[in-house]
Amino acid sequence: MIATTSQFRINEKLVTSKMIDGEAIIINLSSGMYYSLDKTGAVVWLLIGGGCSLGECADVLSSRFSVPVEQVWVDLDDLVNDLVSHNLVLPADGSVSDAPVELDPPTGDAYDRPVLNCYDDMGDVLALDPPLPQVEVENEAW
Amino acid sequence: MGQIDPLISCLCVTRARVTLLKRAVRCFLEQTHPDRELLILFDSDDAATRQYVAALIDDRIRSIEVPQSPRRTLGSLRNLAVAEARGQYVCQWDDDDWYHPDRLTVQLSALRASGRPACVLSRWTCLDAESGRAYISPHRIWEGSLLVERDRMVAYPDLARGEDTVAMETLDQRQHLHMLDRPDLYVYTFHGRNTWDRSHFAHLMARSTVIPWTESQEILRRTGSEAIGTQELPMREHLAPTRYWFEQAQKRGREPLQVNYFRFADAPVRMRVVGNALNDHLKRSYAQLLADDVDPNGPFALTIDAWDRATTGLGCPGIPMPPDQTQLLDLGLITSYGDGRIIRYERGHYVNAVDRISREIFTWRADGNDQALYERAKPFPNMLEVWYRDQGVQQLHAGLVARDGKGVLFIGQSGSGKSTCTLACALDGFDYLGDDHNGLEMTQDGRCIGHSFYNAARIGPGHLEHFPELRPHEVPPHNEFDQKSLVWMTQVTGRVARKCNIVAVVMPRILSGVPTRFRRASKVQTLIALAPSTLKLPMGGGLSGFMNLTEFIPKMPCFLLECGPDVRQIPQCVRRIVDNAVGGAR
Repeated sequence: MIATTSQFRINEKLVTSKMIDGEAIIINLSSGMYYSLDKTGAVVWLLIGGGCSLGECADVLSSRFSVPVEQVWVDLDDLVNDLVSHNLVLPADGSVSDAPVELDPPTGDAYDRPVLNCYDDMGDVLALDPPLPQVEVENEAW
Repeated sequence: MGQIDPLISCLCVTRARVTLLKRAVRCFLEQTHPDRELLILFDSDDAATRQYVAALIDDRIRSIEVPQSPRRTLGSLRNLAVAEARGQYVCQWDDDDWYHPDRLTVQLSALRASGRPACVLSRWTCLDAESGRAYISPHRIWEGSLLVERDRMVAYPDLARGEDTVAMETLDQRQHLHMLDRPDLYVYTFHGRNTWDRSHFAHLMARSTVIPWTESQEILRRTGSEAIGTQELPMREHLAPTRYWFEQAQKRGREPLQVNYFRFADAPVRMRVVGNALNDHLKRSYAQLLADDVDPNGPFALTIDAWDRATTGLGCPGIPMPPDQTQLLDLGLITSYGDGRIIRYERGHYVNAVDRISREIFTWRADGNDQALYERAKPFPNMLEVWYRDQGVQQLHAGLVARDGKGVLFIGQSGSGKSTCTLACALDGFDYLGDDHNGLEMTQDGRCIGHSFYNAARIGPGHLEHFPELRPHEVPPHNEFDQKSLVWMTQVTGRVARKCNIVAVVMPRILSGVPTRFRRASKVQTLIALAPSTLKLPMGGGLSGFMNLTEFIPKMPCFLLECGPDVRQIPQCVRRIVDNAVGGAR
């Protein structure tokens, strides 16, 4: 069981993600695996990205979906273990984002156990960018 | 009371490219900001530039001849220019780019309003003078667009290139920069002799928004860039033997050259074919895109040159250079040259090649009379997909129909019911655009335009059972490689369209024992249904293609369509989907 005070950060060197209609799509650029998180899991993703500890994540989920924090905590522990095992998040080691987390207002949706859905059918497509490898050049000169 | 117009010094460091310099000078002279000077720095061994600047008779233009030894870096030359400037402001004025007449006026105004001492553009227009394509850059600090108070300018580092990036980082750290989003003010031009090479420019283009062909041509004309591209002759030579053999085919063919004109994604296309049978096949493959409004004198966004051995006695030569990538594809080999500029596919009895810069596709067949249905349906799919992508149009693995210009995209893996839904709608009054591969263009004003790619629909026995009206039009398979029949949709229905505004994305599922019905679908699940089959195509666009889809899907209402056994119910449901989507509830 992970400690409630544990903090994680998104593995930004390997991972890009996008929120779509309250759900998250996540790509591991190294492996080409991609993932989806439903609405509950997407909230966790946003909170981790904002530097929240797991205890804080559990409190938010408990309050947002009106479920006991003990129940949330078990599910959160499973989810974070999955995220870690797929290299999508890393232990924060003191360096976490302090960016404000902006969650959409609660929609009244029922609590669903957050699950990381994994897809490996585009590994060769997303890990590379054929036929022209395209690299990030933001900091290069022109 | 208005502010006094200050003197702005435009600083131009140049070397032995007078044609480009002339344009930069012309841009300076056309500026609307009244009080300005242009400093032109050039090396003392550059006789052509010396001769040109000596003939310039304008008090506002000064030239500075720099001793050729010791050779100075670009950073050093820029510092010298700043030191010689008399203006209260200095402005970088690269010799190979184009500037809008209001550039100085607008940037100065923005700078003053911001209270900061410097102004740079956050986006600019990129023009590939070689291919004639223009782009809007991504957002970043575009260092070449700098206008800054002279006294607040920092020294450039002593570098041969990238010097302005370092200087800009310093200005940014000091919070001196005001970012202005006016890409129309500055046209950054790739002409083949830039400080950075094409691969560098290709990275930039890959992250930019493509400007449609017609507007690109207007930018090319307005900026006087038609003649400044070098055409990168060594790379163009890769296809010189192929080009030569097509010319020979015209001379030696038993049948005359035939020329057809089309609009692919609105852009003018010329197709020249030697061989009557091959011409009939190729023309029919894109019959829905035939156009009588294309100027036969060009320019063309694409030229397709085709011949076959049966009528000309000529084969297709190879490319006598080492490729930078090779890949097995089906029963053939796909190779690319010059960082993907040229892509060639060879499969025994046919060859296809595309040059993305000269905008040419060459296609050769052993016998235009003997082609498998897959060749007739999509004669050069990979080449065309790459060309479309260069136009900012992404190929989607999806069916597409439209009603009153409002398009519905059917997505999913093979066998999910895309073709069934597309055909059911097309036979029930919808416009047909394509049953499995279509184009997606996302415009700057937020529209998602669907483009028709192919005229052929591939049909299996199940389709003929559901849609007996297709039987008279069936072209049955006659080749071991064909599992499905083919119908030319322009022969089946008069309602074919070249493009539409996509308003909904639908995931069909063929079910038994249920009435046909629809419901809203998760956008993430829709993306996951669309992406793999689209991106796993040989030229599927990779990660950038995926990211494009993550921009597209959130804009669309997405639906799950459960299709029961009565396919006639499908169009009724799709009409309601269109109404629902256009109604705005997302």
